[in-house]
Amino acid sequence: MGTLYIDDQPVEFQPGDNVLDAAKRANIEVPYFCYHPALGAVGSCRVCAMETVPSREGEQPRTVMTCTLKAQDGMRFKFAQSDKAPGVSKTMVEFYMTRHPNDCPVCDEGGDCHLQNMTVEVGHAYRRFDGQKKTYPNQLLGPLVWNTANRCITCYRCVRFYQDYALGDDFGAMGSRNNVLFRRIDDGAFDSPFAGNIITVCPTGTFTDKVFRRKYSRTWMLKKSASICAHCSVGCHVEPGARAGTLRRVVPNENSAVNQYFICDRGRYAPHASEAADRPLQVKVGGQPRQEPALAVLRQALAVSDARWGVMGSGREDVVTNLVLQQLAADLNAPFTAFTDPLTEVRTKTAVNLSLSAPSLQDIEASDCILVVGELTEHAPMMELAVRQALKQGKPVLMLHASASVLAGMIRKQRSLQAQTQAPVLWAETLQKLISQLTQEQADGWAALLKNAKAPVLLGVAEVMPTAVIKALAELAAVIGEHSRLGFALPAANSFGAAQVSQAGSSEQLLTSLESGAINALLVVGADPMSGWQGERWSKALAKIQHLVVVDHIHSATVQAATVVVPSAAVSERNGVFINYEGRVQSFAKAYSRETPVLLQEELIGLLSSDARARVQSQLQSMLGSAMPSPGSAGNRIKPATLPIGQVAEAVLGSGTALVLQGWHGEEEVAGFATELASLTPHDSVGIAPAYAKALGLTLDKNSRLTLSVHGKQLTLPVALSAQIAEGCVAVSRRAFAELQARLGDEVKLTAAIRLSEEPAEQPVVAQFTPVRGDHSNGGVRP
Amino acid sequence: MSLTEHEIEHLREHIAHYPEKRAGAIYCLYYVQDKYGYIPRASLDEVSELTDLSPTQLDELITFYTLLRRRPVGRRLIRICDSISCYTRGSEQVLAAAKEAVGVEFGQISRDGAVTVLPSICLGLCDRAPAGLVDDSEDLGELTPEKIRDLICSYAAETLDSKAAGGQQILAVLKDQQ
Ligand code: SF4
Ligand code: SF4
Ligand code: FES
Ligand code: FES
Repeated sequence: MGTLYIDDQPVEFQPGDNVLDAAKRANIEVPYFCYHPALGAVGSCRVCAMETVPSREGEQPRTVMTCTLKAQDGMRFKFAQSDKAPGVSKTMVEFYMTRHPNDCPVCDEGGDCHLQNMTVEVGHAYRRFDGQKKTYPNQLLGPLVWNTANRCITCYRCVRFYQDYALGDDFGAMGSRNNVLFRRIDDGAFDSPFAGNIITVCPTGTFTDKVFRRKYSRTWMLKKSASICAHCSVGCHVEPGARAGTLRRVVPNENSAVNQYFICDRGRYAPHASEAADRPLQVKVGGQPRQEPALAVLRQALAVSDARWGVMGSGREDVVTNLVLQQLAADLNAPFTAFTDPLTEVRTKTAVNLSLSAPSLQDIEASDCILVVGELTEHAPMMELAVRQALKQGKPVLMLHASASVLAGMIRKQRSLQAQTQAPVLWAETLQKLISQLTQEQADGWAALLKNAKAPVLLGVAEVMPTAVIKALAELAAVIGEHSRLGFALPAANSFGAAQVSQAGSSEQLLTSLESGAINALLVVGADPMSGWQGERWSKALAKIQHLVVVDHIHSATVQAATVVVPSAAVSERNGVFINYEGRVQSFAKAYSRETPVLLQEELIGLLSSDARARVQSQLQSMLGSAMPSPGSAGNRIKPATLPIGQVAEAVLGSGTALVLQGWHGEEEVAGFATELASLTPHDSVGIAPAYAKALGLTLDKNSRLTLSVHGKQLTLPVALSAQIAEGCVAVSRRAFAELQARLGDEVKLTAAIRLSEEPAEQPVVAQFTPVRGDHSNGGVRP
Repeated sequence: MSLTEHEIEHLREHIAHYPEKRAGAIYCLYYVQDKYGYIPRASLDEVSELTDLSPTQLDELITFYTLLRRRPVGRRLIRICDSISCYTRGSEQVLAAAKEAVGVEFGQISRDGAVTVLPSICLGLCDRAPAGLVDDSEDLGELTPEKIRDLICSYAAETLDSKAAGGQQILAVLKDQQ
């Protein structure tokens, strides 16, 4: 804290501020381009100029770049009062504009353009330079990001984000002098899960949102709200923008304490699932459209005389909806669950119970030693971006994983011994070894790093961790001491909340009730049991019943099998409350209403008896406390109620090959319906380590295929050789798991199948993004 | 297209001279450029393996330095300076004459494969402006449109085997400095 003076006005600053920060805090509109609060200052654009006021005799006033000056008590500057500084800024902007095209009226950045604002701000209104403008070739960057290279003002923010902040290495600054282009070596989509942020950091229209530009609206015409991302348990703050009842774009909501300036590409593009062509928007009973209001149809459906109900909520539905469903189940005397898979239920609840000291993203960034168990990038991308910040500062990041993970690759590049591939059944043993080393005071290697750290952080991916591993990680945290923090990436946005409302073993109970015929009707809200880990079991059980009522906003397998379909609101279309992995209660606000009305989940309370409504209220009270956070604020954290967990059989160590999950960062139940994002889904393959294949006596190369057999089911897939797959394991996608009706850790038999090159007709189908016309105009020759 | 084991061994040995692997990147890139006449895409991956720089970082390097290139050129590469001294002494006319003589745009290969002409920043030959450089090793001074036309015609008449190994000379210079 301190005070400096700009044009004689006192300006308070915070520790670590530079002069530009302080000026911005005081709402003094200093122009800037290259500076970004998360990326820091490089002093390259030369527009944030002010003039110093000499404090000593003989000193001359100087023009300085305020972004590169650390704020100090008593500093004095002239800005508006200066004769020189505004001229410097104006001249610099004029230079930038000699090259910049005058295409503002058709530019997608319009309304949000920092360059346009600054140009007007500094008063550069007329072009004096009559030379030609330079032109540059655009690059095709896949389905998510659009490049218009002419608009670049070479502030380097994009590369500084992509390479320096997010540690990506497939995008760079090419060329030199006034011939600099920001691009990839080859055309095509970015590798980084965070690439979309270059759209946000670019102060011009050089990088724009390609999905948004297909359904463009002037940004000041968008209806916006403070919402929460619904696509993983991090709970990033986002701002959806909509127009005419449709979602147009999603950007980070910069004022949050959770994710601050950035979001991952899943968070940016998965919400477009609300615009999928096959989205259910019509109430249907027995396949026939019905005109009555959704709630009336639901009431009727629930009133059929011969039905014995079960009720299912989910981790992607919000807290209130799950509570309402739980009480509705009580009213109906029906079993209730918010989970589709018993194994996931047990793992999630175990993790939630142990999430008492979960680190925030800032805690993770500031940690001096992190242990990650499981493939974090693929489950909680922004949590992983926080880990990268520690990694970048050279802090040790230790990782145990079983399948190929972006983070593991990154760690390996820096310090190969700090990422270890290992089958999940062995993780508990490894953690126990660390624990005994720490307790016996003979720590070396990983144990020493964890022991000597001042702020150690342990992170686990609950979905892929056997329960024993989750517990071992908590034990490790306890042994390290109270200064350690332990958090888990959970399977869905509101898994924490869902865990609070289901009884022990609730999903198994619901499933067996269906299988035994004890119930013959099911109400499902916001879940797709038929596509999850137990998809086949659910499909069989649900095929037998007469009443399957599904409320959802995606065309899921369960919706397709439903007897009654009630379209519901996507997250941007409603209010609600999620609890993130830290136990942070965050509410989100509706950005827009669809033209065809859909059921707002909050209306479901209308199905309840007045008693049940009162119970919902009191439960909400006891769970969240009295204060409901306002949308946009990083809400309070709650301590999890100690949850009854129940038992489930976990895979045990066998001598055979175990199936592990190969995920990718754009994957999630709803995200699969977002056309553009889903078009980047990697091809299905079976991942295996070359050494392990050799040990099994399999001679494999990139044209090989393997047939997997699990409990009589078979699937043949092309081989992806990778040293990042653990010994004793093969890694396949969720789709392959579903097809094999297999569970995590199941034992699998491998046999070599006919090679791809010998059977060209059966090449794997490449997921293709069909470019819309106009995509191929790349605006000039390739360099 | 890939480096032989022998070549890789040579590059590894060279890189071992430096305290940091990435310091050897420029040498490796020149080596590849000498082999193929330019630096093909696949070589970025190979050099990346050797130097621990990502292919993108290598491409950043190549695009930064004018003497490295990612596209093939003719048997002879003529650079003609367009910086200030040479400009005042008529380099514009020299460049125009050169372009006309090769019959293709700057940077492209003449139809007979003989010559590529590139405008260049100051070559440090300002005292002999307008200046040029052939195959990054042989300097040209006091250029005129006539001189450059004659030169290009003489290159077109060259037989394949008489081409001097220009790039090798750069490697020789680099080696001497070690
Ligand atoms: S593309 Fe945008 S962010 Fe990148 S240097 Fe150009 S103006 Fe800056
Ligand atoms: S990290 Fe999770 S919550 Fe955050 S933007 Fe990505 S998917 Fe959404
Ligand atoms: S913002 Fe200060 S020089 Fe660019
Ligand atoms: S200006 Fe042409 S050689 Fe220096």
